[in-house]
Amino acid sequence: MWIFGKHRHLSDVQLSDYVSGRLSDSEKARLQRGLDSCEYCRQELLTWETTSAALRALPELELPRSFVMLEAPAPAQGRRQGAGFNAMAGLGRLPSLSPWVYAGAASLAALAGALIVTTQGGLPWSGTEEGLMSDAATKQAPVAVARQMDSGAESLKASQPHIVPASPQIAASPAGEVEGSDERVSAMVARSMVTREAASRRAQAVPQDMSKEASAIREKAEPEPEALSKAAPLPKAQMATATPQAMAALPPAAVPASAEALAEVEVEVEVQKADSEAPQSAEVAAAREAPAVVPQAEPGTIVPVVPEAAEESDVAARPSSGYALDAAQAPTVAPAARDSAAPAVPENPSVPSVRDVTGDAGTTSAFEHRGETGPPADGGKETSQVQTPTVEVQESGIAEVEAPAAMQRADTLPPQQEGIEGEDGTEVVQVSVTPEPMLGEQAAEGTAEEEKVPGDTGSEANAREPTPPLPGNVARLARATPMMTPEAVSKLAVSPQGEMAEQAEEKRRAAATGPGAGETGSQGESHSPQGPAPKETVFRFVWVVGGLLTLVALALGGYLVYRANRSRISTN
Amino acid sequence: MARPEFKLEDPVGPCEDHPTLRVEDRSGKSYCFNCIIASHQSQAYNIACRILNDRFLAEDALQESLTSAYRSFSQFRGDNLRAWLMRIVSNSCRDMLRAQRARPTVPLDPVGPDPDSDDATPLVSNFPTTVESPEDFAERRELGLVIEAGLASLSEERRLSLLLVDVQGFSYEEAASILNCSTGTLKSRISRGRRDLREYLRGAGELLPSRFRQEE
Repeated sequence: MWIFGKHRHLSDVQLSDYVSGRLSDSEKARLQRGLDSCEYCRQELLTWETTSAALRALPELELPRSFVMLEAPAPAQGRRQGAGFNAMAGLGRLPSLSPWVYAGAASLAALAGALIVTTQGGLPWSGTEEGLMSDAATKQAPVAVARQMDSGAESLKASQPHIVPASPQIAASPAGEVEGSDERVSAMVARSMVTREAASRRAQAVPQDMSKEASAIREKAEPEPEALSKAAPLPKAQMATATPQAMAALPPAAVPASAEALAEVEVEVEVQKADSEAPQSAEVAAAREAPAVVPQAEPGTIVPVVPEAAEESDVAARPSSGYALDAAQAPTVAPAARDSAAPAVPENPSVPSVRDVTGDAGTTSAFEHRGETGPPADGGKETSQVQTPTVEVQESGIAEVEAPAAMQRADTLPPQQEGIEGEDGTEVVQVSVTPEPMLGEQAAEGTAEEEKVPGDTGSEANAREPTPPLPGNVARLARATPMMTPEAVSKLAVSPQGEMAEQAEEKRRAAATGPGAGETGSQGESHSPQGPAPKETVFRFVWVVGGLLTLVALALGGYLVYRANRSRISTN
Repeated sequence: MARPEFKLEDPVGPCEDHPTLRVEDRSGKSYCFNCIIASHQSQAYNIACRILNDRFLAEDALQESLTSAYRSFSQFRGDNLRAWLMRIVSNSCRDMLRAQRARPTVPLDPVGPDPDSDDATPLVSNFPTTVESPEDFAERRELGLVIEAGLASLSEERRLSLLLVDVQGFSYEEAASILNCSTGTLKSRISRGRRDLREYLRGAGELLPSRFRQEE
């Protein structure tokens, strides 16, 4: 091609078009002039024509077979790109939607499930009392009940010097384990946490001069065996906290004992009403103004119950005797002597109701047992020979327990214990009231007394070393908590609240130094039961968040795997 | 080379050598799909075989292309049936090429049947025609092998453009429609393809027949 008097060779496109014959006449004539004047362009055109001719000379491939269709092909199942989910749709008959729809639905379902599971025990951030209580009950119930059984057995063993001589059934085996069922049941159901104030008020509220009327009412309201056998079973508190294993371990004797205790509570209510209507005497004021003896008693000490016949004039000592066995002495003291000695205490407005003071029902039961012995053999003779009964004063300030639960402790005492004759033929009544650790609802209330361990309830208990869980108890705990090893159970069984051994030891030491110091220490160390520990809350929150993130990661990973398979299918 | 041409205006009549598969395009016009297959299957197979350079893959690609064409025949607008069908075939072949690149496979059997072996597929080109001498037949077969190797060395677009225009005789517009590109793009691809193939043939000059050799 000539441009401005200078020849320029034809381009590849021009030669290709010339070979293909797709040039117009004017272009074809112009290219022809260049080809005529340039040998190089002619050679290039020849190569192009030779190449094109070689392509056209390619032989036609023969068909290996006919592709005619004998029948119509099946309709398409869907888009090829959605083959992976189409297969899933074939399995589950799901519509062919976007993979993100399925991934999102799966994630939402997993999230909903996780929330449901989490809210079953209360959300970690909700702090609702119900959820916390359920959580606390779930965590502490098996161990606490078992611990209660253990501590009951321990306390029973500790009180053996008082009871064993008269009660051969409550005897420890030579191996040291409490055998039999009666003692275990009596230890378990005897949660008589007698408040010191309630006992003193009751002692003041019950006038001695109305003992006769009270005795009449009491005899009138004597529970019948048939009614007792039909009475209600264990109280709610124990039913709520007792595990099936613990319930199974209960002997049948526990049920009628509870019923009898309920009946005795009713008797006590009537006595209280009758006593409150008694006229006041001059000695009442002095008795009310007199300082209470019981609060001065040290926990765990053995307080001698002064016979009223010998201490008629000592009004200040009355609360001491009335603390536990003022009414119990009634059957053994002549009515005349009682009337002259017992001050008539008017009803004090500050005195709590009968239900409030039912915590000292253990003494009432003792009274009842003593009353069942009947008058002395000398026919109403004043029993100056009555030996001074002893009451083991327990730690005060403990939350009150329901009356039936407390009364069962004393009611389960075997009849052989009642009316024990001493060496000189006198009756001896020894009652040991040992408060038990709170369980169930009381533990959930979160009082300061909740932190008390069973060992700090008396000086004798304090004097003892922390008793390790008995092998039998450990095995029982292991059965009650099958997911825990015996070692773990033994660690948790140190305290009913699941405290560690160190904490329980510290509290015991604090209690040994003094009741006030022990309470202060326990309050200071106690964690609020109104909500879970911060560490636990954080742990649960991290657990939930981690679970959700894991679910999201799984959904995303599944979608990525699907995409990889889809690309593979599409390339196929 | 005379190729069967399917006439779109022909009414669908009774087919003697194959069952009648009635299909309708977008405008509602009826066709016999087996007649369409019989008219274009050889050309489609050649294109598939040249693109894939594998007879078995070409069969699979053609079978799948025809099935897809039958299912989607209602989308055919009725303007150019051959271009529409060859486009489906070329797309299917290109999909197979991508799959081969993604997962390269090595066949256990030889890639191509040995023409000299007894079990080779009897092709028309494997036998000398009545008009050509055995020397010409040998040159033609040799030239065919070299050109096939040269086509295989080209890129996919250039190879497909050369196949459609130079080998199969499609017009530029038709080829552009099949390749879904403009005519200028097609012309550029064809010219560059020819140049590359020419360079390849120059490298293998002594193998070419005398009339195809370039004089120095």
